[in-house]
Amino acid sequence: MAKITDFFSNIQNHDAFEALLRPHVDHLYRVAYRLTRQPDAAEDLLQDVMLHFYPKYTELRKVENLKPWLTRSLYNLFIDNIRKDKRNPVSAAVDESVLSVVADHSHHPEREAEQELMQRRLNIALDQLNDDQRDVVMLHDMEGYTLTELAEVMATPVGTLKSRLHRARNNIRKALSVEPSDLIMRVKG
Amino acid sequence: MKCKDVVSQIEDFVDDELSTSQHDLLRSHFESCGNCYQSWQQELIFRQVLKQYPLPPARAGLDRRAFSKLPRRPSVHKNAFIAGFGTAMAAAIVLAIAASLFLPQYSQQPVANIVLTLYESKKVNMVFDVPEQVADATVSLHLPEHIEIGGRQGLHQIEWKTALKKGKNMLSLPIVAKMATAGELVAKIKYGKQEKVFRLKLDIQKIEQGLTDSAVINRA
Repeated sequence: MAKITDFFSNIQNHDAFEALLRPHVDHLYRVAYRLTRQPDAAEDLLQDVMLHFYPKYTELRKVENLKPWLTRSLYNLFIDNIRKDKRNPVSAAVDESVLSVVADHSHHPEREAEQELMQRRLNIALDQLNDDQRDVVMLHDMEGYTLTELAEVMATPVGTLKSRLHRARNNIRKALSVEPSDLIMRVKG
Repeated sequence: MKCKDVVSQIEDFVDDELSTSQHDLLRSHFESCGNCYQSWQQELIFRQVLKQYPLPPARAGLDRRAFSKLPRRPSVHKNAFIAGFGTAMAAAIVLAIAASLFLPQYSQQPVANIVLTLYESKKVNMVFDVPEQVADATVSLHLPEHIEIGGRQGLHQIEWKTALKKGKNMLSLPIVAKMATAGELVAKIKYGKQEKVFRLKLDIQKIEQGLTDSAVINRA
């Protein structure tokens, strides 16, 4: 006999799923934003992750440390759903709100302008990296993931990630092409 | 240690990926070599630039929007919540009421009487006979204020969407009476433009023996 009281289990699972995942929303959004560099795309990716895991709630409950698990899935979804779509290259559209964030926190017009210039150059530098290099810089140098953690997230050996990171940093340094003293002045204000 | 070797290891030094002995060698070299010290400082600043690369705050309501692609949550009226549902069911007694979804004589008519004992949870199984599959039916339940579903305070009205399979479909409800006043459970099933209403008369007794009088009503 079919049961039509699936309502009870559905509502319980729905609420429990949200309760389980809600503490990870901010973190996942950060990573999604770093990867996509667009707020709308980051939210889309985040929603896709939730949708992906919703039917796997029972499985999810058994995972001891959800954060790396979720991050890996988000990264995989990003690769599968977004990056493979070459018609929609992520790097071609840098979020300009990144620049306004810098501006909003400064009351010194000159410093504000310098910082904005620095961010623009950094954006350009990031654009010039290949996808793999950009991902590792974003997640390691900006989000603070260790290479060991990233090896897990990206399913890539630590040695390979280290080489990518090294090349990426060199490329950024070249693209920024600022004198060290200049850099010191801009950062320290 | 040669400056060339030191410079080539500055990234690892900053990344804290050198062995302790190698780390100490570089550190002592920095103390005696101004150029390498500058390179080290430059690397630190470069990392700071990367670390400070801004991340705009998420727009307000991200917590809600993060789950917005999930299937719609079944609606529960009066802010009721069913967490922990089922824990108070040990003493439940099962009644079965069967009715055909497509028999008009059961619409708007009480199909059965049930006797509840005050404060005691009872499971009522309502069986709906459906001649054909209904993919998108809406089931709603309405109970008087003093009778609750799932033993949860304030849970008197629920509505959700479900599929009905061909044949017998069972709606299993745990209900509990909070006052010794008779009432009526109304179950509505909507599918397409049709709506069927099933009513269950509920009598409440203060004594426990009433439970043994509960009958299994089968009108399939």
